[in-house]
Amino acid sequence: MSRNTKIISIALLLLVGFLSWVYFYTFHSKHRNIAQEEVTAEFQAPELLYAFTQQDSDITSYADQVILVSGNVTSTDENSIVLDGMVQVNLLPAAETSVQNGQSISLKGRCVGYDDLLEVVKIDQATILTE
Amino acid sequence: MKLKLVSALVITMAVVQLQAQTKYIDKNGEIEFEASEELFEPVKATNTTVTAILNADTGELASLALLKGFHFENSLMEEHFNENYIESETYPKAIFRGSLLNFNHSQVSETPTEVTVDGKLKLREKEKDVRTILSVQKVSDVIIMKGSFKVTPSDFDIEIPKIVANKIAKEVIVNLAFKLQAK
Repeated sequence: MSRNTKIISIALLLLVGFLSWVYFYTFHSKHRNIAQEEVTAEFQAPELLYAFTQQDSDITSYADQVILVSGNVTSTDENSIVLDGMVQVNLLPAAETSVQNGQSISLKGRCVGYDDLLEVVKIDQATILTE
Repeated sequence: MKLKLVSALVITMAVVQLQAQTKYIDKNGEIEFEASEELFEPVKATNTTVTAILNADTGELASLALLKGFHFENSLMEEHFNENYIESETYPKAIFRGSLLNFNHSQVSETPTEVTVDGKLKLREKEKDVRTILSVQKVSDVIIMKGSFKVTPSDFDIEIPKIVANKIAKEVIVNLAFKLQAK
């Protein structure tokens, strides 16, 4: 094999490698796995609501972060749990739950933001840590 | 006798008061939007934690979607949507406020009827008039609402870079489905 052929084949290999990396990065990047991520902050339900409703607070500071929130269950339906009437938590589809009103629980999930129609902070992709 | 009259009055007033506040709420409503072009990867996202509140007496309807709640199949697309197009850090929500025209709560039945809704959608500090027809029905005390409308990125000052312009449709179709329960 001549020197030129070698250089060309290596260059081709690198090009193919680079292109497939671009392809997989663009079309097959993985979604975040919230259940596996580290918690960046911990709150009681009222503290979390306060953090979002305070006039001078930076409303987006906790949005999109994985947080842990604790509180008393005030209502439950199909896949969501409300803590102290202040935080609405939607569980990961796989999560099975048997929580009941009045129970005190901790959950870990992604903070989505503050909903000023219902006046609750919303959390999704959550998993229950303690029941 | 007098006492009876007074208590009857109080009860009637309480009932009237209750009726005056018939609110129906969905805290897990669904909104899906699609701006796909043929031959290219679908540009589509769904939010299943949308809030919708209907005042059944006046027909007033309000709905709020947190933009970070929109989920794309392609995670990179989701990132670009949040960071470059919608800028959800700065503008975290989309809110619609409007009313159902000629809405009569007592006439809603299991048979879907068409109701016109008219209002304003606010996103990125820009307001856009939205008027569309919803299908409304009531099944075992749950008001089910479905419909769709179209918006364009320019309605909300969203610039689509030239390099991807042919992969994103000029018109974005928004579909909504709410199941509102009496509160």
